[in-house]
Amino acid sequence: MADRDPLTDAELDRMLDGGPLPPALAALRSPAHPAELRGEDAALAAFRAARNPVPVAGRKARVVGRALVVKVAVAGVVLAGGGLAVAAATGTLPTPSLTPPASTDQRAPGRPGGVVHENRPSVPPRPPATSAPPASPSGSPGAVPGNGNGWGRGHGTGKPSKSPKPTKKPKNSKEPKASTDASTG
Amino acid sequence: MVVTSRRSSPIEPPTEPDDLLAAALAGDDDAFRAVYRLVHPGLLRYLHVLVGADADDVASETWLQVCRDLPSFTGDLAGFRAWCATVGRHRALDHLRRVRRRPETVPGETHLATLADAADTAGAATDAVATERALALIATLPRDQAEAVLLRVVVGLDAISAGRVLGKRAGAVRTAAYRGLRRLAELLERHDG
Repeated sequence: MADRDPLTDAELDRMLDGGPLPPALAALRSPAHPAELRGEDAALAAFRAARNPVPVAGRKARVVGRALVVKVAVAGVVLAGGGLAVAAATGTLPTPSLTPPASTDQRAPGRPGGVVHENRPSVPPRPPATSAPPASPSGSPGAVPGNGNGWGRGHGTGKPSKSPKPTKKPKNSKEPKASTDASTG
Repeated sequence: MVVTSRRSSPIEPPTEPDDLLAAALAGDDDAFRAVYRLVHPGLLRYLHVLVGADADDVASETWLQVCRDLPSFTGDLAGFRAWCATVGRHRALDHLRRVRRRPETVPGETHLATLADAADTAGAATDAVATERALALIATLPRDQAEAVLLRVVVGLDAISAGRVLGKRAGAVRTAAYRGLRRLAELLERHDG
């Protein structure tokens, strides 16, 4: 059927490696046509945005919010772990209200599961007290035992109620390890 | 001896492709533009055979992802081309899944009509129409052959890199590219009479 010999492998290799193509295919390698570069400015914008990340406000807020949640959860774990460590070391749980709470307890929530800074801003300004202020800022020492046993009870597992989910992992298409050295040679 | 270190001319912009890429990776706008112009036409033509008229959209998605993941890239321009082709291929297949379509390869006979035109315009190799017709010819091949030819001839990858893009061995890519080119040559010859 074939009038001429089919192309040899060597001939084909030459074409594939950058040698001349049949005329009807030569335009495959022609330089960029203007219409083909329409997306250049958009690509450059993407390049700049990736270089100097300026996140969209909403996205940034979401990310910050998520980071805060994670931080609070981690802080909870650390504080609970610290309390347990104290209990383990002393053999007793610290009694409430006798001494001012340990340094870590100053920032602890007033009740298990409470938000760390919930009570802080609402503390009424007091006149400079000469005596030690009560441990509980609410002024009702009996209501919630500040940082006493209840703190450990509510965090028996030492885990936050919701497992912290760190930031979303960017979708990597494929590791660009293409040109290590396998192709040289 | 001959090495007149690149430092000696810090003001001159780089011209070697690999240097351009290095400058782009370091954040240089002009170098990025230059790299884009080197890489994009082949990438776009490859995508054109895969997704047809949506190639522009898929290409911009590809560049978005490439720019975002640029800090994780290491390598020379050949590696960069291969990486862009890989990202582009994934974006193209995603796109086809989204629109529930198969890649646009068509039976050879339907494009026989374009052969005459392709031959006529072959002299004007810079003509965008000639490129389009040549791509239409490639699109008549079975998909594995079309992709092998495109990655080797149009994107400019070697057989090993093309194999990585396609998830195949270099030998399989070579065979597919041979078959594709032979088939096209046959088609053209038969048409020429």
